[in-house]
Amino acid sequence: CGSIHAHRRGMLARAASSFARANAQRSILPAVSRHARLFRTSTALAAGQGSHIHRDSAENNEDTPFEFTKESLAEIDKYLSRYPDTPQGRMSAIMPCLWVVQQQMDRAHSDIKAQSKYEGAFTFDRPQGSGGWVPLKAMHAIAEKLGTSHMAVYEVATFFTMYNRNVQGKFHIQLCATTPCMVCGAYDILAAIEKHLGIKCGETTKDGMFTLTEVECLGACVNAPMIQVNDYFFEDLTPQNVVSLLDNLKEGKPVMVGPQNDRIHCLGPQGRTSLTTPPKGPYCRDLSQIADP
Amino acid sequence: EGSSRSRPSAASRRDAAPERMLALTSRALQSAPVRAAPALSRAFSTAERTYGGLKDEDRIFTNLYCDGSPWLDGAQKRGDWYKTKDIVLLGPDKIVAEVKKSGLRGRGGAGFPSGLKWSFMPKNNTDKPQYLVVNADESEPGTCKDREIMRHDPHKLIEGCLIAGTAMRANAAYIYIRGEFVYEAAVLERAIDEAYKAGLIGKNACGTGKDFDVHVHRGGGAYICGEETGLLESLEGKAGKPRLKPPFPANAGLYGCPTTVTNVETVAVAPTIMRRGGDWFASFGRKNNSGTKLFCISGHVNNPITVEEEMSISLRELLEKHCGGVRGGWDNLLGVIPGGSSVPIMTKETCDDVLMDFDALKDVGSGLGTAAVTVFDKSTDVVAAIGRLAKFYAHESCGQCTPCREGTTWMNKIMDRMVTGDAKLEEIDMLMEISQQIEGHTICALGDAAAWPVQGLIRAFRPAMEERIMMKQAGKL
Repeated sequence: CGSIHAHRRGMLARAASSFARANAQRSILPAVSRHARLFRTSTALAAGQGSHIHRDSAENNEDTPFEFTKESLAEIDKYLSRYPDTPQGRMSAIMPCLWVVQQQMDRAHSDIKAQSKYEGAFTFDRPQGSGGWVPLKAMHAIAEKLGTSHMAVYEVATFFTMYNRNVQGKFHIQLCATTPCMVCGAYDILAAIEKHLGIKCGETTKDGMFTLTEVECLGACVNAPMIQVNDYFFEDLTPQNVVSLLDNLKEGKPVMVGPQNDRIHCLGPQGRTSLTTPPKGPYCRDLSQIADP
Repeated sequence: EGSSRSRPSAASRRDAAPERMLALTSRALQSAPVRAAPALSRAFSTAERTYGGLKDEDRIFTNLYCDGSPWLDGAQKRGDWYKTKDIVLLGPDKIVAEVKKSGLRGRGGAGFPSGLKWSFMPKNNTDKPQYLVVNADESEPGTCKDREIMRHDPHKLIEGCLIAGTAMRANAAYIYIRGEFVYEAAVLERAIDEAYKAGLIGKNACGTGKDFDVHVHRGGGAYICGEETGLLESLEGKAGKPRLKPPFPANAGLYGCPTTVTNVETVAVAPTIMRRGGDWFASFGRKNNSGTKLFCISGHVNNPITVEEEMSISLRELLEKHCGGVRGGWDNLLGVIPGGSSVPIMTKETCDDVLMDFDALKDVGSGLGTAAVTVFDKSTDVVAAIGRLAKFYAHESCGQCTPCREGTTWMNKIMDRMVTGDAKLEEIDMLMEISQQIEGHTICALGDAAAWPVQGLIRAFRPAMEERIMMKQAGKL
């Protein structure tokens, strides 16, 4: 019996050494990390913020406590009422719950003095979720609240890019660099931000104030180039005005949301070419004239 | 020894080849125009009329630039929620017939006839609820029209939900809005609250005796959740990985119930179509391409803007009338992507006289998609622009099926090398073949959407790709 095992060990050792010899020219790394290299380049890993795999850290491990506040629980009940009251319907609340967690973990909202150039514009009285992150125990709390498994919450939290599974800087700068923004100079904006903050894309500043990531199209293409910082869009950027924007954010000074220049919403810099006359009032044709189909 | 002196060696021939081919290609680039797809007569404006020049009184989205209040008071002043009760009481069949008469085609990219799509919902179902799901996951690069509707004219959408929901015999509507649209979602939530308080939706909506709920569901940053079954998976609380079709959502959709997923703009124009008539809507645009459309023009124009114009307007008029023209003049134009990143790029020669509608753009080998026009002038590195789109699709692939997961990653890697020129000339044909192996072999249309920009680049700008490679081989890069 022992000799069979020794025989097999010998075979494996011989196979391993010939494998290592064959790969010696290509790579000095052992076979296992060759596969890890492939994993790092796979699409699955490219999505989301970093690895799918949870790595315990000082601020995020199975012993880090997390509890929903009373306000958060009320929000969750509000969202639960939107879906059928069945086990399947309650699963729909996983995404809103993840947003509630991120809202609860937001530490930056009150320090962003967001101003709008438009009279009567809507302002957020509470964080909307993009300034926070989702701890591991929060995912467990969601699973418990909804009566589902931890894995069900993990699947959703790892699939969507906006759920941050690690601590972010106070201000999460998300720069859009997809082609419409790219041809309008998004990578120049990225270079300006990297130079000003002294970090590369994907990193957080040492003082924990800014995290910089490149994201895909944010849907504000006619106001390119632009960034999202926590819950706000800042559009029509130049390498100069983005630097003053970041300084103002850091110092807690008022910042203008939307276009950073004179543009109004999606109107071009040259102004409007339509809707130059006021809209007409209510009108409806005689509906009784509609024939049966 | 003697033979190597009288003939150039194989090595020197190999080194000289890129130089010779580079010289040939550069001459070719200067003299011969790039061969575009043959232009069919349908693509050109007919002798009877030209399209464009939409008058303000015919515009549907009159608060596009937020000149008035987006809330209920402003909406009612602009004519929203007017005689909604009478419209709802017309009943599903009359509403669907009117939408069919209007010729409305889906505004979310596919352009499927809306009246026909809404008529697929079961008419005699009594055991399951039926749902309208509004696709507000506007993530197609270049597209930013639905955000204008939701933040400046949300009541058009909410009223549209009620009317489209009636047409589909739906009990409730879910508006799936992308997670990045934080402001738009907040405005929409508040507008829905207003509508509930005013009794316009909810129990006994508008006094019709019908109950109709409208709910907002925020996404979390995934382009694939703009695909209708990916959206339904995400709405059901799972990862947004699309389902195989059949079964179609009209038979088995949200929670297994009959569901129709429609774009924001399609739903938002329904009330105006009912009030002004399907004939009125059909009076704009060419046959089978009727109505008005929100165009988002970005990139190298002097006046990037979102504007509502008539369908079948010529691209040149759209850019010159509303966008201040191409940066540096029309002759500085390199190419245009007319319908969001998923449609093939068009060369300047095609752009000179193409009309902006579904059929005309399909005839020239592109597509209207979401009417998100991205303009590139001659300063653009077009290989890098399409290369960045390849990276976008590789990032956004959900990973479920092998052709897309592996194919988009592979195309991304090859395109990265095409941008730097670190490729071989035969790899261009290999790239075309890879894209054809992805196209049509995937669970959902993201595979096709990833393949088309690359195919468009090869068809329209192959000489630019070849020049890049040969310059690199000749040591000039």
